[in-house]
Amino acid sequence: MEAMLPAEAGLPGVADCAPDLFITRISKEACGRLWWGMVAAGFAFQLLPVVVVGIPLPAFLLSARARDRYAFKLSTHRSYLIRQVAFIAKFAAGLCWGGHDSVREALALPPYATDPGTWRAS
Amino acid sequence: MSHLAYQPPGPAVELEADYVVVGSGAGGAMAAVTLARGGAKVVVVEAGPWRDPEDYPSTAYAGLRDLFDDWGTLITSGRAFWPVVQGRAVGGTTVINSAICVRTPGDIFESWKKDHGIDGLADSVWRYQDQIERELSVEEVPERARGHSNRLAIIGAEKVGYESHVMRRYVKHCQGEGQCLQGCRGRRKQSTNITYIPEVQRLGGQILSCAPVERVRIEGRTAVGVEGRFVHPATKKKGARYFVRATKAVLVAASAVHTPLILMRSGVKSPALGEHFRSHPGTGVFGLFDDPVDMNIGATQGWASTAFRENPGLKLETLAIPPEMVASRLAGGGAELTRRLSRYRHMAMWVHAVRAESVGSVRPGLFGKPVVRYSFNRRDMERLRKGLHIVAQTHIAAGAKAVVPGIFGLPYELKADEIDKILEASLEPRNYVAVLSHLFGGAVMGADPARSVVDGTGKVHGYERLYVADAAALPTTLGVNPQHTIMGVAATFAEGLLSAQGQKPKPRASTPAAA
Repeated sequence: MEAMLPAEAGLPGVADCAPDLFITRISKEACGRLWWGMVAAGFAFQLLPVVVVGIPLPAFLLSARARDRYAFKLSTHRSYLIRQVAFIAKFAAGLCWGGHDSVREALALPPYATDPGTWRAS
Repeated sequence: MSHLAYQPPGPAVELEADYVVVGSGAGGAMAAVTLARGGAKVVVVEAGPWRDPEDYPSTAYAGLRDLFDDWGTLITSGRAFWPVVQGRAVGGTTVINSAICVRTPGDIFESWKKDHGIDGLADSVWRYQDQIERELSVEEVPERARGHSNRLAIIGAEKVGYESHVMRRYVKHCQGEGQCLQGCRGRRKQSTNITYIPEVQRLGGQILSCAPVERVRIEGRTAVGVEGRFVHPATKKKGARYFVRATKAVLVAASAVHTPLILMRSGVKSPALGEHFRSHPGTGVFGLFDDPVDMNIGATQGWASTAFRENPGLKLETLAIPPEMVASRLAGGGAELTRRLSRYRHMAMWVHAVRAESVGSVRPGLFGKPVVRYSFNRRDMERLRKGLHIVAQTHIAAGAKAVVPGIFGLPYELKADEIDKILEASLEPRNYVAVLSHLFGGAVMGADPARSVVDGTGKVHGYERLYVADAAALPTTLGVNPQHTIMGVAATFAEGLLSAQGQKPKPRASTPAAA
């Protein structure tokens, strides 16, 4: 997630948006299809540098510059399935990033109110 | 008790009513309130929880969690993986849509008559649509709530030279908060959870929420009720079982995806069940403007055009989407993606829905979850591509410096003199991102039991007291937003049931939730 949306152009990156808390939260709340899709995409993201940029290392061992190039190439790859890996990673990254107060402030959007998470119990 | 939410494991809950309605969205709520107005005792059974506007989420994250079916993760199994989006709450998709109100075009009834043997619905559906428009305060998006994106679209369409208009919606005095997709916390949107469902309660009906239906209980060939088990909306833990007996009829209105599955699980036999699934897949183009557009200020959707409904088969609309969703919609990753997102304020998203001829199916998959098989044929892909070009033209005419077409294989941005490249783009569905939000079929109506599941009154062929009253019964696409048609058809079917009992719906019980 952090590689997909790093800080740039005056905007915070995912790393500035409490990604650990986000992962903990979504792991508890997401439906199985979303959570396991994210897990699978996360593994695939780590394993695909050799296919996408020809570097036989997992993504977490790439230099920051190489990882950035890899993130871009992954999401514009000619293989549809590889692009879907990037899509899921960007979807999760976007949910974490776009709702964060610092990002919304940078985009001239008001901060979100708290989500009540409530419903009629009777 | 007029509302029963999640019940922990324990003795089974048993209720009885004249009619049981499965689902509380556009079709279910409309059928239920029509029956209740006729003096019938109605129980509405809804899979999702009942959230009032005070309970609605603010963030897109919680919107997906709290209001969308399975977080919006259902995707088509076909050539491309396109999301199939619908709500899961009391009020169904009416809670999360933009409440767009378009009357059923006359040619739809002609096609239902000619191709499906269904006649005599038009007058009743239009009469109900008149009534619904009054009751749900349908109005044009007011000037103060239009926002810059919607205003620019009007200018663009005028300059390109096609008809367009400010949307009419079931929204009372819209304040332009840009929160339609997360539910309107300001109570402006007249979704059925704050209008018709409370009226059903006032008329003596009961609502079961957090109560997904497992099956309709059928004895011989007669539906006698529905059964299932409560599910906790947060923990997903299963609670008590329930059975609701219907002394007169069961009406299934759980959506074009879930209605066919419920009928299948209930043992209904029909060669057409789960078939003839149709949609209006939608996609869009971002315009990049010099000045900030701030598309999230103003009505989420406030402008539309039906000028291309018949040829090539498109509906155009504005659609404001939050940055959370734009991140996955734009091509690229890494620092380049953040740079692209840094222009969020200057982006306007305008979309089109394709009146598609492609047909798919709905089947149960692993763990009973729905599997939607659906792929676009070549003609529909040509419509999709043509629509993107029209939208791009409109952006440029409105003053956009460039557009982002979102087609794999084309440059990320196209300048004014480059937009014709869209017309040369590949027709491979995998090169496009689309969403299925208008869904039809799966239990379609028709005169021939070999090609349809229900007849022109909504009754399931070959079964007694079993009806379908939602988009699943619609045998064609419409080329316009479907909520008004679903409501008109559902009310007509419900009135038919009352008439058979010598009853008639009375005028509304009292005013709905005011803004």
